[in-house]
Amino acid sequence: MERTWIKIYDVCSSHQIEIQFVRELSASGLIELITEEEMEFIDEEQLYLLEQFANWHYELELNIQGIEVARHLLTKIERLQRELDLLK
Amino acid sequence: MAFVDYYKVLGLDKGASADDIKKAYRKLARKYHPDMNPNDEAAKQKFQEINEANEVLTDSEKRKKYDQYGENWKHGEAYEQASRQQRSQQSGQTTGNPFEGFDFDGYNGNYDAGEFSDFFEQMFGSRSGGGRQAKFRGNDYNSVLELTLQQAYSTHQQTFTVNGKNIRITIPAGVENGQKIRLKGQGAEGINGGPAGDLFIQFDIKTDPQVQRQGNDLHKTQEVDLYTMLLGGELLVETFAGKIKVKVKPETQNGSRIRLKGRGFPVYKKEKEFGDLFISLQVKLPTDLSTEEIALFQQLANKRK
Repeated sequence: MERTWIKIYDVCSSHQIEIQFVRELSASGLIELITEEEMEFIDEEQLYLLEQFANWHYELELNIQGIEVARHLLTKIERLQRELDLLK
Repeated sequence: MAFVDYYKVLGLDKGASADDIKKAYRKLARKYHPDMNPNDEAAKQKFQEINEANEVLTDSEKRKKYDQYGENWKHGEAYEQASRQQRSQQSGQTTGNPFEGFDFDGYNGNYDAGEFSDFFEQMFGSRSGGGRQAKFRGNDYNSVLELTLQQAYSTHQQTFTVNGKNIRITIPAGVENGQKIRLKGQGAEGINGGPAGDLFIQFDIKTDPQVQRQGNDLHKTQEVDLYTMLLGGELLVETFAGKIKVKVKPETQNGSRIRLKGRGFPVYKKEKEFGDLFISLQVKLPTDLSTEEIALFQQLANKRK
């Protein structure tokens, strides 16, 4: 499957996000970054996740740990909702 | 239109400091943010109320006006006018109720049905005039779309309804079971002019009783009569792309597998690339044998002894 990779530097500059925050998200496994020739890239498919986490961090003041917990619980809600829909 | 107690909305009293307001807002925003409460209209409504309260109480001018008029907000402008008149007449004398004697039912401030309450719009006008409210991205929607294996085999369009909105999408051939696609901006509308959320569609591909899919390969079991298995011949195999002729070699063993290269499932987003089709041949023994057939089989059996 074809994937489009976007330079993290470009994303940070257009969204006004600190690069360190993106790296921390990656270190926590919340997003996936790849490094090519000393440049970091994010899969376009994951851009919405980065935008969402940045929103939580800057607007709701959630730290990385908080984002991890929220993400985990939301995934769980989503799964339970799907199960509930199937049982209906 | 009811008065909205913004202090109460944020759980504060009138003496709250800017820091108290910020803290209370953050705390409630975390609780009721639409991202944290997927598909919860009540939470979204509450979040809008919190935003509105924050908008007013963090803006010193708005807060001053709100504090000054409070529940008498409807008559605020008239009160200001009356005050001005009184000052110019240097009369200084006021009645118990400064709004007494005024009839301002005709007042219909500058508002339309936006994201903020009618109360806000009437008191402060439309907030599309440079409010410094944080914009929030709309909620994402998640949807599951069921497909048959046959449907997933070819690129096709489907129309379906999500939250009352008809959405037409092109489903590329070769989508996988459980695969998710994102339709940008097709989720819930943003808050305070923020961007709309996304719509995620997950494909639930039903299993097919005739064909099993393993990645891009297809596996099928085909019954073949005894004589074709023994003597060889041709058989017609039904595939998603139509019927195809397959040669069977003489003395083919039961359970033998034939591989048809490039006759399997299309590779996702790779035009003209297909997996392989594997056909397991299963002998179908004749039943209801006639006396003559039994005798002939007996003869064959004796020859093999």
